[in-house]
Amino acid sequence: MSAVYHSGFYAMGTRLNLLLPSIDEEVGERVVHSIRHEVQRIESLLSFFSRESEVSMVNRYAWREKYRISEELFTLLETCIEFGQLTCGAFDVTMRPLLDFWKGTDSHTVDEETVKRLREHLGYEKILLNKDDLSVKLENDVIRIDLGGIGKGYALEKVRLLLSDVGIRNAFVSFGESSVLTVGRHPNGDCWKVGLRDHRAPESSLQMFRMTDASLSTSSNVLVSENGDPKEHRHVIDPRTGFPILEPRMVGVVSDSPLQAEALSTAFMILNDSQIEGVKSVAPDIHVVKIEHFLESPVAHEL
Amino acid sequence: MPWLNVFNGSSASGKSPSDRVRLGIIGVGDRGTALLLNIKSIAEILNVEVAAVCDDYVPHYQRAIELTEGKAKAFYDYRQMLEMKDLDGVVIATPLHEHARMTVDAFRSNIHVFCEKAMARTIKDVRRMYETSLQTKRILHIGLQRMFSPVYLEGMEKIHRGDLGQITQVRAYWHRNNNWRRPVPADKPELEKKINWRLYDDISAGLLTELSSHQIQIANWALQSQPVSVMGSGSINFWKDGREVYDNIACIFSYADGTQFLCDSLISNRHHGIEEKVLGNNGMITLETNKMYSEKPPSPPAILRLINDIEKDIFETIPIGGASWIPETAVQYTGEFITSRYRMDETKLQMEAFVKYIRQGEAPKELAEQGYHASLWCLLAENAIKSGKVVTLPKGYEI
Repeated sequence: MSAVYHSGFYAMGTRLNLLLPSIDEEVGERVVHSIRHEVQRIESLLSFFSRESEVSMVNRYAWREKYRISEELFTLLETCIEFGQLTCGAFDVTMRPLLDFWKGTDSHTVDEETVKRLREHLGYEKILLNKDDLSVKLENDVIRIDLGGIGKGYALEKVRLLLSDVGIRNAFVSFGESSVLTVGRHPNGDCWKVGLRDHRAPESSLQMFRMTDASLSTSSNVLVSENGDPKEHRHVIDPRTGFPILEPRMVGVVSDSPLQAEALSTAFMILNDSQIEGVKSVAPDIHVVKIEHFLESPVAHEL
Repeated sequence: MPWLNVFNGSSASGKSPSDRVRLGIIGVGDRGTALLLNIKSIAEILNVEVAAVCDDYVPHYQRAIELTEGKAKAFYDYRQMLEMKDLDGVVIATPLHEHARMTVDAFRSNIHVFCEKAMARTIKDVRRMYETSLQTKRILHIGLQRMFSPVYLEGMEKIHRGDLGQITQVRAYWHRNNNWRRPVPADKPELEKKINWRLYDDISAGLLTELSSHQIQIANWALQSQPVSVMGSGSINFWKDGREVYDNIACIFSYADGTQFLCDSLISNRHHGIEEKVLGNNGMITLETNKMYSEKPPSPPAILRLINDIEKDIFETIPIGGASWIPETAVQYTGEFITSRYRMDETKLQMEAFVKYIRQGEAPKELAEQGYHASLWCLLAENAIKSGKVVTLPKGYEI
């Protein structure tokens, strides 16, 4: 019988759960307190929904004139742009207006011209960063920066640093059950074994990853409830066309970096296998699993 | 909750007139009328009738006769009503300072009492009502509105079984934005005090007895205890219209285990409305809004399984993925509902309970005790505000 400290809290519109094997309550409480503090700080910096977040300020003011931002946000935006370049535009933090458009519309009656016009106004390359004065300028007043596709990954980067700072050797952190950070190993194994859940049999996995000091991020355009029932279709927009991905699909990416895992799992929802291979050639340490026909006959294949 | 047993099992309310519970209503103003209508709505099912009505204000006296279609005996003087031979219980909804003598007189006439909160204008009278109820073995049911509300009952069950962890604070507020006056006929200015009795110090303790008393009962209920001391402040800082009672108050009640209950009320802003919050180290319940907010989210199945595995030294694959998070919507944690059994007819439930207690011939002792403590402590709070001192329970008031 091994002891494990467990705690959780709400952040970024979901829950973060933390498991620390062989850590007593008092130490655990202290660790989770500092993690919570840090994650909430990041949320108040990046939230698209909080009017007062730095990202919201950028969205409100940076199209008129250049807007000075913190070094932290500046660096993160730089990283987002790099991922945009690395994935040939499949990762793009400016697609929010298109997402809102699709959410408010019936897919069958969409006017292609409208999509095209809207798309022309968007694109990560229209975020202009100036390193000299740490400022950002948006090329027009349509663009909205939404870091929802990378926020949890960024927060998990910070969680990882915090855990290592306080000398935690083994940990399992789940953020919204779609992003997982592992540190060290399971008390009874040499790693953490994490699987991609088979929604038809929620107790079993379609694919298993052996993880030590690594992160898994999953992306999907179908939401599946805890008992395995598909809940709803979720819009994932292909930034290259402006149209949503309709084929039910799921992607899992394991990387040493939670931020990279999250950005790439989003992008790989959109890229085809050979394009993914292309990205892998520059980021060789990642593991990618793609599940097509996610709803009826899910088959996982590793890339 | 012990006072709920009355709703269990068969109500055994025979249909014959001889089994009928006969009630009298003393004071048929706004509240008395509401109580009367509620009794009428359960008359058939529970075999109960309003047999008598009483009010010394002519328009209310006449309205009471109309509301009972002339079937109830009508009185101007409650003492005559108490002489009726076959009255089982009275419902008292008169100004606060009259509660005590009416209640005590009813008990001495062998009649059970439902009395609107708070119990009385002075702690001496509160004690007298309580003791007389014990001596005469008559039911003393104080109309603290939440005691029979399903939301409160289920909320308290969660609180008492530890869902919130250790209770570390209770806070309540009751905010309105109006002058708290009832219209006085223009040709009868002498009726001002009779109609607006809530504003006069010799009749009412104002916000404390008329509003906060409910919330003091709720705090006591949540903490399963009574305060050991109270401090407070109050003033008339907005409605400076000749009233004698505070238009804003703020009190802190301390309990033996170190828990504080913060309670305030005002009638110059209604933004916050009414709420009672019970805070524990694992979560918070907001009773008025039927919500519970846990500090620690329920664990997803994968996490539960992993905890279980580790504790049992099992090393297996944990299936995750299948995001339940929707990043493109503004998801905020808005809590969970305490119960789906949300009923707004608390007054009716109170009347049902009173009738059933009468039929049983007794009520659980906790029923009167809740009323006693809530009423006592709202008057001690008044004392604290007026004296500027920390007030503790005077000798002879323990039960």
